[in-house]
Amino acid sequence: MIRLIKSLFINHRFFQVVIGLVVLFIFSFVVQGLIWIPKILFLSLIAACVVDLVLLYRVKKGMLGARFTPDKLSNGDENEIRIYLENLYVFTTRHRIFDEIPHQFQKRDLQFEVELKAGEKKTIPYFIRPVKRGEYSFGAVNVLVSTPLGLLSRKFSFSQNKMVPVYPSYMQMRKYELLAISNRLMETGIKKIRRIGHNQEFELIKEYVSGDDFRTVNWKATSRRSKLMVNHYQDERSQQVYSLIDKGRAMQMPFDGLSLLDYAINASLVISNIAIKKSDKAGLITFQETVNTVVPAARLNGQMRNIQEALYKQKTAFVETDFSALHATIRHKLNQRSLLLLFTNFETVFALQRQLPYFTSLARQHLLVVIFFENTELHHLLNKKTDDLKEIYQKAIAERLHLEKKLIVKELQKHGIQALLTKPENLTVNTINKYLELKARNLI
Amino acid sequence: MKDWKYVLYLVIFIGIYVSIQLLSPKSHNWTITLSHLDKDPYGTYALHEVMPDIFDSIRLSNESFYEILEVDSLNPGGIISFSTSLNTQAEDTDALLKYVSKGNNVFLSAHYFYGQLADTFNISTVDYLFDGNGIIDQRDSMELRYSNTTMDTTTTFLFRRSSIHNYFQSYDTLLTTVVARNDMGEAVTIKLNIGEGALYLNSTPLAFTNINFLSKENHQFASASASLLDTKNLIWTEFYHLGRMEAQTPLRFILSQESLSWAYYLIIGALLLFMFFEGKRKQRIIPIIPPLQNTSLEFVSTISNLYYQHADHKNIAEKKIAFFFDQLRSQFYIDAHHIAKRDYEHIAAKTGNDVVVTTALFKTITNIQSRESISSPELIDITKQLDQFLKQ
Repeated sequence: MIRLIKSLFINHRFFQVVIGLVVLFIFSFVVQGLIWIPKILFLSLIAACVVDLVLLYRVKKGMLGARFTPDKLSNGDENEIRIYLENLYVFTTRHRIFDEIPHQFQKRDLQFEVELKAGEKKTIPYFIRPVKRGEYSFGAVNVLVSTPLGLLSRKFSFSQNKMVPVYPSYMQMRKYELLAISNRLMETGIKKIRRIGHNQEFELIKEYVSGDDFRTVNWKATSRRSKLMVNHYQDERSQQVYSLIDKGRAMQMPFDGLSLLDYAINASLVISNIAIKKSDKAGLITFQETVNTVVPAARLNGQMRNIQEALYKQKTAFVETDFSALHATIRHKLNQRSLLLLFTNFETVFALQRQLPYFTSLARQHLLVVIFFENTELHHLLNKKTDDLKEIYQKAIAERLHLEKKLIVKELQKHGIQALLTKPENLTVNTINKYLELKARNLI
Repeated sequence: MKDWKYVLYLVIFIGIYVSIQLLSPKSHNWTITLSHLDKDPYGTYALHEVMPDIFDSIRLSNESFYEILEVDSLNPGGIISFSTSLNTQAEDTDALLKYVSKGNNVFLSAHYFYGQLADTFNISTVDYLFDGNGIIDQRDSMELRYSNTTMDTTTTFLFRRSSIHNYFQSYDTLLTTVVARNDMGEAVTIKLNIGEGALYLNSTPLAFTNINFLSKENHQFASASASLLDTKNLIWTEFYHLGRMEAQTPLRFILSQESLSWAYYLIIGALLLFMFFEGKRKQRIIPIIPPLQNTSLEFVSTISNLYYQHADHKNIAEKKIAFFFDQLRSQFYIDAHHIAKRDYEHIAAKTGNDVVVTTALFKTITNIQSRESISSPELIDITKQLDQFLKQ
C-alpha cells in the first residue's frame, strides 16, 4: 500500500476533468434539474480512475529502462547521455521522464515526454556540458507512466546512483589527435603555416614537383631514376613541450561557464597529445604560490595517461601566483631547451612588468610562449553606442583594457618572448597553431 | 534517518506544549457571553440547567422576535432574552407587542434598550457607576429586592456592585409597575401591561449569569424573575446578544444548495489531492550552487565610476584617442601617432571618409592633445567624431 502511494501520481488531466465537473455543477445550479448529469459524470470519473489504477498496477513491471553514461565526462564539451526505455504494457503509454542529473548542472527542469506503443523500445539522447572537473553523481531516472486514460501515473525508478568523473576535455583531445595523425591539422580551421627556414631531419626522397626547393635536389637519386628527385625533410623530433599552467587568481574568471584555468587545462591536454603524436615529448608543470605538479616530459606510452590524471586532479585556491617559484623550478629541473607554453592571464602592462625578469630569464634558455586571454565579456561594451558621459567613460575604460592586452603582447615581443593573445574559446586551436608555427620555424 | 530525528523533535515539542496547556491552571474567561453553553462567570449555563425545573418546555433559539413569532405566534407561551443591549427593529417590536397583547408574558433583560421598543415606552437605562450622577457608593456589594407586593419584598439579594449597576431612569409610568429595585430604590425590573399580557424588562442581565446565580441565595432572584413567565412553551432567544450563531459567510448559501455544495466539496477534495500528490518529489533535491561570476563588466563600471568622480575628461579623451590610433594601425595599417607623418588624403581614402572630415577630426585630436583640460561637451563631441569615423 505504501509502495502504491509512493509510486502513484495524479496527472493534470484528472484535475482538468474535476474543474470541468465543478463548472458543470455550477451550471446545473443555474439550470435547475440537471444535477444528475454532473453526478453521473463524477461517478464515471471515479470509475475511470479505478480502471486506470488497475491498468497501471496489474503488472509488476510495466517498463524497462536504463541510463547510459560514458565512463567519464569531458569538461567543457557536450557529452551525450542516453536513456533507454522499453514499454512492457500491452497498450500505448505516455512516459514523463525526470532524470536526476548531477547537481553541478543546476538543472531542475530536465524532463522528457515520449509515447511508446506496446512493446516499443526507444532511446532518448540528450547532452550535458559540465564546466568543472571532479566527481559527478547521477541519481535515479524517474519515469511517470500513464495509460491512454491519462488520469493517473505510476512512477518507475532505475539506474540509481552512478558516479561519473569529469575529466579535462578528452573529446577535444581525440578530435585533434585524429587530425594530427592524418596530418590534416591544416584543415578544419587550423591555418596553414608557411614554412620558413629548413628542417634538418631527413624524411624521404620524392620526385620533384614544381614548387619544391631545388636546393634540396638529390643528384645521386636523380641519376639513378633519370628523373629529378628531391630530398624531403621533416620537423625535428623529440623536442620537449611543457605546458605551464598558472592556477592563480587571474585564472578564476569564467567565460561561458568554464574558468580560464579549465580552458588552459583542456588546451594543455590537447597540445600534449599532439606533441606526443608528433614524436615530441610532452610535460606539465602547474603552479600558484608554489609549484604543485611537475610531470617530466616524456614520450612513453603512459605519458598521456599521466598528464590526464595530473590535470584531472588539479585543485586550486586561486591565490596570487609566484612566478619566481616557477622560474626556480624550471631552471633547476629542465636542462634541455624546451618549448614552454605558459598559460596565464594579465590585465595590465604593469602586472606583466613585475614578472618580466623571470620571463626574460626563462626565454634565454627556452622558447617561452606566454599565452593569455582576451576579455570577450568586454566586446559588447566595445561595440556599444554611447550617449551620455557615464557610458563614454565606461566604454573608454573598456577600450583601454582591450588596448592594454595588445600592449602586453608588444611588451613581450620587445623582450623576445613569444606571445599569444587569444579568446578563451579559441585557445586550443590557437595553441596548436602556435606550436606548429614554432616547430616549422625551427625555433625550438 | 535524518528526517526521523526532525519528526521526533517536532513530536516532543508538541507534547510539551500540549502538556503545559493541560497542566497549567485554567484561567476564567470574563467575557460577557450570556450563552447557555458557557460555564465561565458571565455565561448562563447554570440558569439554563435549572430552567427545566420551572418550565415545561424550553426552546432555544437564535432568531429575532419577528422570526420566532412568524412561526410560533399561535402557541401561547413566553419569550426570554438576555443581552447587554437590546436593539429591536420596528418589525420585531410590532410582532412582540402583538404577541404580548394576546396574553403572553415576555421577559427581556438588557443593560440598555434601544430602537423601536425603547422609543415606544420611553424607556431608558442609566449606569450609575460610569455615568456618575453624583451617587458613588463605596460598598462593593449591592442589594436587589422585590418591590412588587405579590412577592416577598423583605428578602434582599446581594450582588457585586461592579456588575449590577444599571437601572431604569425613565419609563411609561401609566403602563408600568416596578417589580424589583436596587439598594438605591431605583427600578431594575419593570412590568409593562400591554393588552392581556405583560412585558417584563430587566436592566441587570448579569444577575442571571453563572457567577451571580451561584452565589448564596441569588438563584432565588433569578427563579423569581423567571416565574413571572408562564411555564409553557418558553422560547429563549440569544439572537440579541450572540446573533445567529451560524456561519455568516457566503458558504451558508453554497452549502444549502446541492449542486453548489457538490462543486464546493469537489474543489476542496481536488485541492487536497493536488497538495498531497503534487507535493511528492518527482526528483531529488538539487542544492543551490551559485555559478562562478564573470565580474569584468562590474570591474569596468567600478573603474569608470572612479574616473567619472574625478571628471578628468582630458584623460578619458586621450584613452579614446590612443584606442583610435590602435584601430587605425591594426585595421588600416596607418601610423597616425606622429603629426608629421599624417597624410589626411591617404587616411581618408583608406578609411573611406571624407578628406574634410578627416582633417577636422585630426585637428580636434591635436587640439585636445595640446590642452591642459577639456569640458564634457568636448569629450562627447570627440567621442561622436571618432565613432562616426570608424563606422565608415
